[in-house]
Amino acid sequence: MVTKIVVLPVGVIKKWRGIVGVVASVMLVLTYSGLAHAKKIKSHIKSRDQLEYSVVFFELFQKDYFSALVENSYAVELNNPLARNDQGEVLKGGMMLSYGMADEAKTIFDRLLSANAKEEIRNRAWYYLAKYYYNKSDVANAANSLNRISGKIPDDLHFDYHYLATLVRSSGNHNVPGLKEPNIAKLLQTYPNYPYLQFNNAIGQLRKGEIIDAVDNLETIANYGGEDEEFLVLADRSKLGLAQIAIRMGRFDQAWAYLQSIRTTGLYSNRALLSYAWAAIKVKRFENAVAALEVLNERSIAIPEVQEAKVLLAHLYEQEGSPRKALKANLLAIKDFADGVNKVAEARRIIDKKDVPREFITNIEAIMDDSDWLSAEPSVDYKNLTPFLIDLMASHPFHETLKELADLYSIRKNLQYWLIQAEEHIIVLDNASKMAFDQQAKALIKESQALNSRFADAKSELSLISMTLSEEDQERMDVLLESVNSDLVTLDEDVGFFGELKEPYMQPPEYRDMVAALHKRIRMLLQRTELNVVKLEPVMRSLVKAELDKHEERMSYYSAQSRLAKARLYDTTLSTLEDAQRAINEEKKEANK
Amino acid sequence: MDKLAKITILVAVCLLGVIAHAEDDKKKTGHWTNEIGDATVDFGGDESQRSERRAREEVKKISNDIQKLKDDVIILNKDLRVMEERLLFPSNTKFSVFVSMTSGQFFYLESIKLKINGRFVATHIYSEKQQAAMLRGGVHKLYITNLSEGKHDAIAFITGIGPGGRAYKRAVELSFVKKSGSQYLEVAITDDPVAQEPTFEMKQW
Repeated sequence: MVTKIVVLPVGVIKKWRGIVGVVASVMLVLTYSGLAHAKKIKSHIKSRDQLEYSVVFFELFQKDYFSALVENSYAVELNNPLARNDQGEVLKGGMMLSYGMADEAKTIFDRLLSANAKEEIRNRAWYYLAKYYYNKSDVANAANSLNRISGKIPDDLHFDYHYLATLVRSSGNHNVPGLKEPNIAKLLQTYPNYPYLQFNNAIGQLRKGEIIDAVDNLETIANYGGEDEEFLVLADRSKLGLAQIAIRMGRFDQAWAYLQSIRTTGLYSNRALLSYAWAAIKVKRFENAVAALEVLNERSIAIPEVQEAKVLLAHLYEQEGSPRKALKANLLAIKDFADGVNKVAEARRIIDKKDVPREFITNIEAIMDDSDWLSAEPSVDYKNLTPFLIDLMASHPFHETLKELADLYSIRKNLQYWLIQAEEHIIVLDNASKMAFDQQAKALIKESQALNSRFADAKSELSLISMTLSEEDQERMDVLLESVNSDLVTLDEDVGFFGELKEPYMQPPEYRDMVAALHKRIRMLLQRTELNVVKLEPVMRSLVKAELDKHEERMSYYSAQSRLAKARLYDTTLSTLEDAQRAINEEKKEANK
Repeated sequence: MDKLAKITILVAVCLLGVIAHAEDDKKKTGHWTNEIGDATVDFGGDESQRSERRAREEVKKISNDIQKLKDDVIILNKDLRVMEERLLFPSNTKFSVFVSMTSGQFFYLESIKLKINGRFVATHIYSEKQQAAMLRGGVHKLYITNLSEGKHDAIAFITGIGPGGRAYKRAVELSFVKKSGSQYLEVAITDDPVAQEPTFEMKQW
């Protein structure tokens, strides 16, 4: 067996993406050692079983839990020991938990914990169990499970463990032998998602009244200087939190300073601009408040902050002594609220359309990316629906419903794919049953054998002829002969192989029944999937409609306020005119006297 | 962390927190802005809560069904795959090719082409996600076929980006003997820290 490297011409130079260095530091789940000292790094694959099983990781690390579970199930079917041992079991439980099969996952963790597995397995099981309880909003049991973890935590779970600990208010102290707390903190800072953990810590400190520490942590996050959108959003969120703390302490100038540094685009911009306006009003900087509200006033009427800003802006104009501007702002607000109510009606009509829940879920990533919270319109039909649902995305029941529906749609797609494949299975079976060595095939093999022998003779002749040629020509001929020889050897082997066969491979007769039974299962599962989709889609629709009702109610309320303000301003203007008229009349009377 | 979950948490905390402060401020001070203190109005709150409660109950009710369905679909997928392999790749002739990557310090894998016995049989372009999954220990199953017993040749053409952002195109070749029973071939991409170069190998399992 020979391995050789063939160097080919280098192609077009492409951009180095810089990912290798970062990702390379992530641990390999299956241990491989000797990386540091070996001259040449060997593949981490040490056995045939490992090669076969590592396909599970390929899917798992792409977060495709369904495919990972199928691969795992396949590895179990092949009796792969890595899929059947405790490590494989606990990993399977973790994947099930992530794929929404929480109950079966819990059974696996309970079994492993009662079987007295080794420390790493137990720690993994306790961690996943804590996650299970946290997902069910059972914070007490989640904290209890986390507190059962002790000693070394597997590297790939270490950060997640501390992150979950901040969420369930656990101490996150797993007593690592030989590693002190400051060192753990230092280690955690090396993880890319550390700012999230720091933010949760700050919230915990706020709850405990440790304001200075909380502000310290939030300021560190707020000072993020990179370009990652996720962390920029988190920085905005921290600034908003800091402003909130300052406002509660009556430090409006400080709050105003924090609010000023929040980006005027992005997830937190609407809330920040409104808070900024309120803070400016508190410190009597009305012109700044007006500026912020005017920015908000340009945005989509579907955003609650924009609705509030419209009323507040008109009111500020009135207070600064500009009744005409106030009147105009109120008139425009009334028109905008009417438009908003019409859009809600349109959104109700859209959500009733047949395929909208599926399309909404399929495109959710695109919707979230495209509707940049600034009323930029996504390119799909439900563009009128989406802006009204931004707040609803924060609702746990809505999120859960979407997740289950998304899984059901994926399952439906998978089963529909298999239904198409089922037709091909039948074709393969039919063709296989027709295969046989008929007279024609036997004649062909005989002919090939004769041809093969003629080729061999011709090759010998050519070899002899080549000897009569000049040395230079002989070399050229030798190359050709070598190539011909290689082809002849292959042909020889094939002819020999077919010659020895008595009959072609025939599939066992029970295959046909097995295939039919599997096809029946596809159809049955597809029916069950449809049944669940039919049950869940109305739930999603009712949640969306309740949210739309909320929007309509709020806009109607604000619209009524604007109408009242408009009437009051008209009255004031009329009475001012009447007063003026009266004054003129009196002046005329005086003059006539 | 899942993107939707993050946005959900962000929006929820932001709205709850900041709305609360706006309410507090307006209540505490006797400022003229109290006249339009609308943040205290709970628009459609009752109906919204009722509908969320109903949704929770409904999801809980069918959650067991969905979990069981998921389990059955996973098993069915596995069974169908085993069945397809039995139909198309009998165990005596089955031959699978895998791609593994270790270290990855000097190479960013972009694509691979596979030639068996002089014929191009498979090609794959790797996404960033797949590349990252391989660096964490995942192995990609590139190709599965039937090979008769005897001598065979396999060549893998691997392209990507090497040290210093240089484009890399390498071919690695292996002549091997296929024996009876299912067999595996690993295309292993590793590093040579001394030469500061990636290395490519094929191994029969």
